[in-house]
Amino acid sequence: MVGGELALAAGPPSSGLPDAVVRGLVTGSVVAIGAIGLSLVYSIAEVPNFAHGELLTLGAYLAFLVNRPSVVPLYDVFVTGEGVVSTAGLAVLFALSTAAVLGVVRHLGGENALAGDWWSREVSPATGYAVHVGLAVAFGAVVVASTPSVFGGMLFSAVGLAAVAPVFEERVFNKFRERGDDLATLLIVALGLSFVLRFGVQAFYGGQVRAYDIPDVASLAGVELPLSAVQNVNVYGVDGGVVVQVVDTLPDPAVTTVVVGYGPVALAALAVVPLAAALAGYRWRGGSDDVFTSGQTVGPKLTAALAWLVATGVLVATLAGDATVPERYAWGTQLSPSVKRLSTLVIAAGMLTVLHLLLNETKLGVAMRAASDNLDLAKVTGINTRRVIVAAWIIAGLFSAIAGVMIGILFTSITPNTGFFFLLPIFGGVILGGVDSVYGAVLGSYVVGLSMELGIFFLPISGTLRVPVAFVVLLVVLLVKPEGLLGGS
Amino acid sequence: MALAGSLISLGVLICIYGILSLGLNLKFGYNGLLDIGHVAFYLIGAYGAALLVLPPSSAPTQQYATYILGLGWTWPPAIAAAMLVAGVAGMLVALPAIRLREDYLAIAVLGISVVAKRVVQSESWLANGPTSLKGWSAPLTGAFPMPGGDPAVEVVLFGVGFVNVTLFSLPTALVFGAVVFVVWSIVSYGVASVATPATGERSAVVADGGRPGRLRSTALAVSTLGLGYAAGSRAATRDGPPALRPALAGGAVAGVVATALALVGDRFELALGVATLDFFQLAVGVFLGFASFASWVLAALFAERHYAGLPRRDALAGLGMAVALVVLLSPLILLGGGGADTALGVAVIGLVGVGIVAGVVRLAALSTREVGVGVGLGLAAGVAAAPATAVGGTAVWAGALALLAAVGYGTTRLRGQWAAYGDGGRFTAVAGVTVGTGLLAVFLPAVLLGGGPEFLASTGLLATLVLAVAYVAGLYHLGANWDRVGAGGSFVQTVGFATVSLFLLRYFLLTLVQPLKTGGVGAAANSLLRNLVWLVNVTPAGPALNYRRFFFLLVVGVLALAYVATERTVKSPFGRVLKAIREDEDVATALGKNTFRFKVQSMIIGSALAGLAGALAAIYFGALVHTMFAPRITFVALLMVVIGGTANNKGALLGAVVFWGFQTATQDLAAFFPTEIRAKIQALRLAFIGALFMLILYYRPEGIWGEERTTMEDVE
Repeated sequence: MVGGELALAAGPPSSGLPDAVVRGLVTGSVVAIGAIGLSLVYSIAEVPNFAHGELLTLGAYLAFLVNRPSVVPLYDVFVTGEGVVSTAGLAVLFALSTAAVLGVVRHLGGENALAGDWWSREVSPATGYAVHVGLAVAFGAVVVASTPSVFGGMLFSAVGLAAVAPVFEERVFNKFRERGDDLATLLIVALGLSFVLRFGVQAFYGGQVRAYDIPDVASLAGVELPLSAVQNVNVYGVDGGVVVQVVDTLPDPAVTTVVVGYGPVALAALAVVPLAAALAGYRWRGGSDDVFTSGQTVGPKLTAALAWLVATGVLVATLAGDATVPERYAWGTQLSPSVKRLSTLVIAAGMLTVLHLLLNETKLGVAMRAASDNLDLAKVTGINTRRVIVAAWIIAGLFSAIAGVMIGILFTSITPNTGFFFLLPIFGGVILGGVDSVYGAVLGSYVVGLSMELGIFFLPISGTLRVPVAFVVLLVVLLVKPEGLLGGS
Repeated sequence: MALAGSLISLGVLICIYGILSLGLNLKFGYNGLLDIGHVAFYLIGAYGAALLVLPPSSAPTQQYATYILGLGWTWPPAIAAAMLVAGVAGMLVALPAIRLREDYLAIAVLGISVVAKRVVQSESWLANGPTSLKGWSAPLTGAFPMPGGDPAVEVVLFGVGFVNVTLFSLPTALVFGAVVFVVWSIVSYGVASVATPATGERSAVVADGGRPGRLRSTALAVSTLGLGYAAGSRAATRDGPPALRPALAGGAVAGVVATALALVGDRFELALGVATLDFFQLAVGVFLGFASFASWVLAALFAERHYAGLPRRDALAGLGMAVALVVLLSPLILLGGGGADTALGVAVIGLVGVGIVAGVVRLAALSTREVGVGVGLGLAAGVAAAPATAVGGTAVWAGALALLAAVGYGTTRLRGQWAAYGDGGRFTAVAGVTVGTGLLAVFLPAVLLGGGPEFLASTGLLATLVLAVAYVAGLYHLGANWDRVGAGGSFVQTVGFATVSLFLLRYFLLTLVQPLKTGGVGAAANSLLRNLVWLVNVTPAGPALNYRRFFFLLVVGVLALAYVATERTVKSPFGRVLKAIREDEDVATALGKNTFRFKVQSMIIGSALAGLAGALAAIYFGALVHTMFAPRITFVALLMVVIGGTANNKGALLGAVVFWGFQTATQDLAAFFPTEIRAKIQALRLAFIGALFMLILYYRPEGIWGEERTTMEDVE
């Protein structure tokens, strides 16, 4: 940057590349959560599920049962007031929630699954039943207690769709698979299913644009959370250091809540120390040559990433010094996250962790990974491939419902076409990362999300072209490296 | 109420989508390229042609629109250019995409179609952005209606009086002649096809070699004015398709005669100084009116031949299906209006309910206990549902759901018992008794307590909904057990027969109800005539040819050309290579074929056809919006290809007929329902289309007509 007094700017900085990156990460998170299900179904059940977008739509609409019961036909008879449901309605909700949990378990192998035979360890049937029923009741209680929060809706819709999605596998796709139909036929069948679901939803809910009922401020465990208000984070560059200012835009006029500064030394430490920590973590976990028996759940790459995150967090908190907002500054940029957007990142991180643990720490997950490599080989080695395929659909339902609700929260408009609009980015993410790898799908989704937001940041085009940008990236990758980023040759 | 206008609109849509699906059939059916982005080329054709025809956006008529080009071309070169552009676009898409795996190809082309739609939507400089692009006039609109398009001229009679006479100008004469030529060529070709013994059609089992008998010949000869009959007889061949040339000659003769009649007749009258008869009207009435009659006769003969193999009992069953569909609407129609019809409505529905119960009991010879179970279940469900309907609105749905749940639960419990001694039919019979009794029971409170019109209307709605569900379930059950229930005909053919019967019922009989009520027998006869001479617009001034009918005939002509062209293509060595690539690309490569080039060529031709369909759509709709090019259009085209039979061009057209027939029929059906339910039905029918698609893929993956057998297979 050219120095001198003339180059100094004044007033709040404008948003720039960093803000676009944050937006890209948020969009990427939604796409990633959606893509995981598609990728699992694609690689394990071998269904190119063009109806996956409709799973997101279904998920988004299921959450209305908790969040805005008055827009749900049939269920709206229980509505007694603004967002208030009668006891009978709550009982219905409770029954549906418990039934959903038990339904999910039942998909894994009928009555025996309810008795606990899908667990990694042997249990007596009584224990199995007790645990499952207990879980179901607890879940029902949580959902009922959380009305009409949209996050309660997210929970309900996730488990509800997890119970519904395997039905498509059992009633539709498996029939064609058993007959030995090829990939193209399954693809066309999926197109048909997408029609049934999309217009079924439209027939039931109507075609109007809907939105969730989200209060501006939510109280979570006694803490007031400004859900939709944007927190402007202004970063100013002065005298070799930076000053960070957080402005809460909910009150009028906006209130500055935090001002902290980092000197040149602190910045250097922020750049170097986390990297060093990451490197150390990588060496520590990657030291063993025996990769088949140890340290796979928390592998070297994951350790490095975690070390970097933790080190950065600790340093940002500890190195912060007092500062004042500068009148003039050499450079500046504005980030405008909100609790809604950040919650998307947090939820995505949580979901990815759960998925990672599931795939690496449970018998079912290991079987799923084996089946995704080679279904026939997995079958020969005694893996219950039906259960594995159903599990892939359960996870697909769970994750796509959450992605659907996230879209509803972020974009504040839900239509029967909502999910279809996201089908292209999601497919893009999956193919980009390589169809056979869930981790590739996650990586590909973040690439797609970032390219969508950076595309409309850098190119002189309107936001309508967000999806086309993602698609162009996909097309380029398809032409250059058709097996995907993480795919084998 | 005449339905001929709707029939014309339906025909136009069928033709446009027929061309679209012919294009997709070439790509997917014959060559195996799963192009689920077909709509992109439809879009390119539509916008391409429109932008070439439009005046510049700086023109005073277009002051609120911005777009590129605007060259003010006439339609024929614009359509040709649009096809060319669509074809080139197909090539550009194919060059990179075709090397991909089939699922990647699918997502890539789907993506391209979404991108194309979004670009049109967001780039306002291109084609007016998100708002609609319009401002062109359809070709030859000035000449219509006929007569009436030409300006009237003042003619001095005997040097004393004046009279306004519409004289037929030469351009109009040429257009009219061309129309008559197209119609009568088709009529002659149709006569020749009927006179030719059917070969290759699996369903046609005709005793006397398929030639029409004396009575049928007379009907044909009269309705085609002798002319079409003579030309058709010359065009008929011993076997194989009719010769084209004599049929075209027949059309040409008709065209010349009709034009000459109109041209000379009026001028002759003028020379004589009398103006009693409008010869132009006469020509329109005679040549298009008789062509309409001929179309019915031909359709009847084709139907007779097609359904000749259908046993009488199956045909009756088909007719029954059609009548039942009308009957299930009766509670809604009779009670919907409230008022005077109420007593009649309840009576009719009572009869229907009793009829169902009696019929089922008699047919299935149920035991007293079984009848008791069915009646008990139906009573319980009906009485439980009736109070709910009193509230109206959502409660109607809740009531219907409760009823269904009760019946469903009861019958599934019973099903196990009946299945134990292996008789699923009795279970269905009891379910039938249940529905019939439920229908009666739901009205019991109304009759006993005297409910008001609203109560009856919502009960009528509920009854219709329940009957509709029972109807669909019954149809499914019939289809699943057809080999046991049917008398030897195929289920698909029976349903086809039912569809034809339903069309005739709706088109000729149900249209009479309203005129009979309001205008008596005269009005009914008028309505019947209008429906019969569907190619003629019957106005108070006399018969006329309006623009909609002209455009319909135009697209029929274009479709015929496209069909002949694609048939020639796929029957040629080129077409056989396409099929070989679809079956096994490696074999085709091993035989020295450059498969990549063949695939790209099939994409070019298929896309150009889609472009043609798009250009015709631009003319027909008169305005283009990006929402008209949603990915679902591709899905619909794919559905048409799969329904009729993949790799069968006739099948693709049949698919277009089935889809648009279904759309129009359900639209018609929805009009009987209250407004809030109508929107739901319109969404539901698309869901139904998706379900139908999956059912066809599962139960009949080869489609209705299947792939046409090739010469080699015939030899074997």
